[in-house]
Amino acid sequence: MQQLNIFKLILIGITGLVTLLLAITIGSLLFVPSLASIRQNLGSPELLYSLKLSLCTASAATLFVMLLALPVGYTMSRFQFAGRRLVKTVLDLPIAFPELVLGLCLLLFFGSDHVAAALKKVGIELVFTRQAIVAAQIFTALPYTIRIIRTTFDYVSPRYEFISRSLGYTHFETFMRVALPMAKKGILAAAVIAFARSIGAFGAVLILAGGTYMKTDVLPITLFLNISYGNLDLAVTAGLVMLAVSFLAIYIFEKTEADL
Amino acid sequence: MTLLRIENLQIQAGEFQLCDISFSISTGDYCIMAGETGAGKTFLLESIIGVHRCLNGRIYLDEKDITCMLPEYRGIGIVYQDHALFPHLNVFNNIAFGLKKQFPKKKRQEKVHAVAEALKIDHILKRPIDNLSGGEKQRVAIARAIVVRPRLLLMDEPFSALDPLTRQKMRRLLRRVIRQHRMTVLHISHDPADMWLLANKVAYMHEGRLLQFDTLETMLNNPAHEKVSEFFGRPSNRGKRIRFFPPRPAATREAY
Ligand SMILES: Nc1ncnc2c1ncn2[C@@H]1O[C@H](COP(=O)(O)OP(=O)(O)OP(=O)(O)O)[C@@H](O)[C@H]1O
Ligand SMILES: [Mg+2]
Repeated sequence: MQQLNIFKLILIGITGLVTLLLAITIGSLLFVPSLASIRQNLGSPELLYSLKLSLCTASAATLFVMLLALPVGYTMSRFQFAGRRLVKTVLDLPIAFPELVLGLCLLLFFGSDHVAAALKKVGIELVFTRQAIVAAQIFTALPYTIRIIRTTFDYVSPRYEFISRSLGYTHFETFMRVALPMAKKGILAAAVIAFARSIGAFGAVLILAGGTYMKTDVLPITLFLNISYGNLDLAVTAGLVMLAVSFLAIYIFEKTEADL
Repeated sequence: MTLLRIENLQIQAGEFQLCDISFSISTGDYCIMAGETGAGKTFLLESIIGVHRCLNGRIYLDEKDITCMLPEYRGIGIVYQDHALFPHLNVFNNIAFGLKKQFPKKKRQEKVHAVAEALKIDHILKRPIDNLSGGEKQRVAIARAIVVRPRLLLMDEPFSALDPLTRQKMRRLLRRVIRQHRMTVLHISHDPADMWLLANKVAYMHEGRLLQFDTLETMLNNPAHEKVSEFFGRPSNRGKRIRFFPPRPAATREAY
């Protein structure tokens, strides 16, 4: 008979326990409200409003995030330059940063007289508006997205680009025709994560956009507001909707990662 | 006539440095370069296509200084050891890749078919690249590089992943195609058969330096450096070479 590998058994046991713990915690969301109240809450004007607002702002944020993360991620993957270490640290910093502090920084920056005045000139009024939601989501999602895109390009050997350039394509043409198509799946995965992070962004959104009922009321804010009103069922429903979005995101992410 | 002339080239890559590289290649030459792993052969080829910034020295192509020219304007082709075929394109589109900017569709098809026929890959043009054999991939990579008629073709150990028999066939095929297209080639290889059967000049690199660049006979009889004689052998007092470097393969000579 095969001898027992006790170490391996213990590790598998721990993994099983952790998974169970996570599953039970997440699952508890499903058991609190009755099905009827979930259905009723899903149709409530507040939830519909915040769902719509969440989807719109997160889509806009994802678009901006991708436009910024693609060039930055490619640069960090491909080029050596003075101060590269510092740039990398600054770009990664927000990942380990409490979201509330990030929100406070954003508020101090965008709320300062000069910046607010300058933005107003180009028609952007940021603090405590819906545009602020997008801004807060961008700053929350950007560092993660840059990281994923950088790693994706790290996996594409620069030799393909050298070949393309030796065949007469400029660097930009090479980026469009070789680097982007070869990194396609990783880029899609990055967009999914950017969207999921934007939907879930709370701390920075709350501080920069304020949590105003039916105005800057995205899903996480709805959840938060309704807990404080004691309206647990609506809070749970908002939680469930967000959970569905993240499940979908992780599903797509894993699927694209799998055949990367 | 001199096609490529490199003078005192010095390029840095992290810890590694190409030092004081000087040599020239004439139109129609077939040069084979050998050297221990990490000698900087691949890096030198990439420096010639222009993707690494020079610290010092000059590169001339057709007597024109191209040291600071972007790679896309140099017209120098490269074939890598691991083929590096574009995974998102099929065989035809891989070969046609470099033609897209200059030629209309009809002309592209003609050119691709011509080169595919010469390299005996015209039957796989529609296939995706991921299920090709190693020999087929290598031929596609060579086709992609030569279809645009580069002024100079660089090849980085194109046969090293092939079995001996395929390698022999590929060598013969390559030799024919290179002659047909009258191409000038700088080819990295450690295979004595390549040196005997393809090259009219041989080079040896060690630790970022070019130790010798000459005909194979001279390398064998007058090695300029300890490392060169280690690889090519050196005549002893009794007139025999000490290290083993196989003589020209006589049996296959007729076949070429
Ligand atoms: N872009 C780069 N950045 C930093 N170091 C590099 C870079 N490219 C190459 N090197 C280093 O330069 C040295 C020479 O590498 P190169 O690939 O040219 O060797 P090689 O002669 O082709 O070896 P092999 O026969 O194994 O292919 C190696 O030590 C490698 O790590
Ligand atoms: Mg190499």
